[in-house]
Amino acid sequence: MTKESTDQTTHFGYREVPVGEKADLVGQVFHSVAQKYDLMNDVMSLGTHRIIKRFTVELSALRPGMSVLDLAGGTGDFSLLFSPLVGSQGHVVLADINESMVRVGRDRIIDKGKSGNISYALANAEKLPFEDNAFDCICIAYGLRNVTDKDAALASMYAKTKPGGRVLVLEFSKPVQPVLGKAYDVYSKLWPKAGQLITGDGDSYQYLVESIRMHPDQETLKQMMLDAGFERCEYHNVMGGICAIHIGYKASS
Amino acid sequence: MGANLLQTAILSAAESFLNGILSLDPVATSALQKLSGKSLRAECELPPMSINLVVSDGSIMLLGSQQHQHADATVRGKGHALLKLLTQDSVANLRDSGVTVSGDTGFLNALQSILKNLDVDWEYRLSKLLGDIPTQALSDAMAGTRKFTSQSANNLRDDIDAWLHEEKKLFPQKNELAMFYQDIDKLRLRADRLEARVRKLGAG
Repeated sequence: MTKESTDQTTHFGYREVPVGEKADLVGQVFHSVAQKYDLMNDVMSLGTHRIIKRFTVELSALRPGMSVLDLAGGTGDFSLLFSPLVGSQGHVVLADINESMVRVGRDRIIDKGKSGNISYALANAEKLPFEDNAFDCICIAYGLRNVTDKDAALASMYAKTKPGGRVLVLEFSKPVQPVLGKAYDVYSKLWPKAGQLITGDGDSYQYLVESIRMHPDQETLKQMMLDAGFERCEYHNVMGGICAIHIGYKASS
Repeated sequence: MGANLLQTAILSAAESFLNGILSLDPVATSALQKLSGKSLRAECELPPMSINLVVSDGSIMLLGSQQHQHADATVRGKGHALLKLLTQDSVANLRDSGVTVSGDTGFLNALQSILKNLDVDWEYRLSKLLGDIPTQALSDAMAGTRKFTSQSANNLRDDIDAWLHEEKKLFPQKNELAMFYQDIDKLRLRADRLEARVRKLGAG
């Protein structure tokens, strides 16, 4: 964010770290959890992340022949859902900044025999290595939180979206009900322990919990998307605001 | 805006269930392969909801229509009428069903015939769960039960038949009926001959 870039530090969970180091630190977190990322997601979200992802895909309104960027695509859940929707004429690009995550995602997609219209890219969301106006839809799910400069990422996503295209941002957010918020706080305190048991790396999940707390809430993110140039921005609260799906469109001309 | 995850969850479960069944029928899977990339939207008026079905690689995807999504064919009508569509032979006889169809009806017909002609190899599925020998025993037992049931039903039908005809004499026997009809025929012939004779005498 602008504030962070001026004083040259940014948050990594609750810690303040130099801007240049955040990407590496986040990288280490995901290198460490890549193999069991999906299992941990099931534990943390009680299995609901699959439903939330499908709901996000329903909002994508993809048609055969379209091109879609699955940014921070990680283990390929979204690419697998997008692939049949855009069909053999369309194209899905799974991009992630983390090599381990792309590797896991690519292996998984190839193992399912669905590799026909999917390609892979190691890419930083702040500086997307694609042509401008390349994608009908860009989707970043549980990824924006980990990006050092979120405004730069949103601006880059805006540039790569075709006029008339849309961007979907699925991210943890702020629960609307205070009671739900408290319950969720208590529940999420268990994650580092669960992470220790399942992946043998509690620290990475401590970071995930903290990064969720530090992520902008629904209205702030909506304003950030408007600032990046998107129009008709709106958001859907999921499970009382524990997650939120933001949609923004790029003007047609 | 809140999200309705329930519909998504139900559709997701239905999709897994349907794909599980489809994967047991190789003919249906290869027929679906040919329809790859096609999509159908079912718009239900009562209860109000809209579902998109996308065919890909021998399986299907069921998504709720949150946005106005592209579809090759659309069916619109009340819930029960749409369900009835699944059991009909073709979409040609829709006139009184209250269902309207638009778009690629050929695709809709193909999809319908795949669903209607599903021939699921349950034994194969069971053998994966239980193992070969228990499955064989179970299917033998089921075949035995089926045979016993159909035999019993036949016996019961014969017994009732005999009881009504022989014991209670409520209905005539087949041969009695035949003789009765024969008598009627004979009587009609003799009546005809008598009539002819009377006419001849009258003329003479």
